[in-house]
Amino acid sequence: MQQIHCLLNSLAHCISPKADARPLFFGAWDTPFAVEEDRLTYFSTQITNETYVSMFELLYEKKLETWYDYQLSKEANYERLRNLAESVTPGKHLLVQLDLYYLRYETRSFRNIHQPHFVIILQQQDGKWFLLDPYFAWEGILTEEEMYCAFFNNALGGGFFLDTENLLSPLKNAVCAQFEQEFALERNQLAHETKKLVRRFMDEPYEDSKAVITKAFSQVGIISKRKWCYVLAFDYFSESEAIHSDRQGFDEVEKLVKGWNAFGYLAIRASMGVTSLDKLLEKAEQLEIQERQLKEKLWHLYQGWRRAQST
Amino acid sequence: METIQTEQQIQSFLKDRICELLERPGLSEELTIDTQLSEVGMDSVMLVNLMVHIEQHYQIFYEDDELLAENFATIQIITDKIQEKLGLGD
Repeated sequence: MQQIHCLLNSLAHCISPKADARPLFFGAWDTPFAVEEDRLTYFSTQITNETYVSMFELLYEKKLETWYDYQLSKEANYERLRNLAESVTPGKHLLVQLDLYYLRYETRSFRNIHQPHFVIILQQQDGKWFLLDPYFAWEGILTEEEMYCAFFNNALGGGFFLDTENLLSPLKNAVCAQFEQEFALERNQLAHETKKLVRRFMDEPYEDSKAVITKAFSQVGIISKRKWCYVLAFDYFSESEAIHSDRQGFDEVEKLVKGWNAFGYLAIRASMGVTSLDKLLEKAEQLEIQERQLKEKLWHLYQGWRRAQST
Repeated sequence: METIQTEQQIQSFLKDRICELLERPGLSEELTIDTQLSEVGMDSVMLVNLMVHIEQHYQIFYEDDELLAENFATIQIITDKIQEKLGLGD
């Protein structure tokens, strides 16, 4: 599976052997992010994972238990994690949010960037933590010290416990309810906030514009990975016998994600003065149109799927 | 361009610029044409700096859809792209 969202990738890994995980991603193309200090950021105290908890429970009719208690200290939560790690058995899954800065397998962030990130704890034994990271496709061992640092120094915090025993794929009605609840043709926070920021940089030139513009859009690449969710929706709604497989959706989604990656580079070029802010704005507008067309196509496909399911 | 750039000249130019950007002159000896640049510490800001150096030196221009990390993953990949743009490809 593509890298989409660390929590969703982890949940999908746990769900997949038992049930269809694709519906869980519907709507995640518009996962909220924050705009703080003139920059787009995918993590913030303003953002919670409550939407995913309710989505999971609506689709799978099972509880996604939040074991991390924000009212407790880090020490108390670590103790809770340790106890839960001892009770992990087949069919039960323990997820925890760590700071990527301390995870040596992710070379880009290791000792470089602090970023919260969800992983799965497989086991804890004799001071060793057996960890699975579906997002980065890594499985291995963390020492007690690495785990301790990654847990305690994580600026946010979070964790879930999931029992997939007797888990079934979502029913059609639940999928329709979830999709229609999350799908919004006009919504595109990424394009909207990006354009707003670019316009602000055009109207109020910053003293240190190079650093400001680079920082503003440094997380665009990570945020845009969520657009890969469209592929799962195209895939899911194309499966009916009445509808031919739609591979075109994949190419268009790939073009959109790559377009946002290119935007990230263009922003750095703009900060250096080798690309104009007008061009940056134009690119964001172009990506907004692309995504709107993709959404229209997906909505059309969904309606066909819904009709086919009713006959 | 007054002289035709050979593949080796381009690779040598790239290696020098990469070592400068990383501020690691000693890296030159271990850096091969197939080394993943992300693994030696090239981040997106450095990659864009490298792009700009390339554009200025070779008087070429990268289109928006070419601004992808995969097009700047190794010295060999970057060299192939430069040669293609200079009309020196296979």
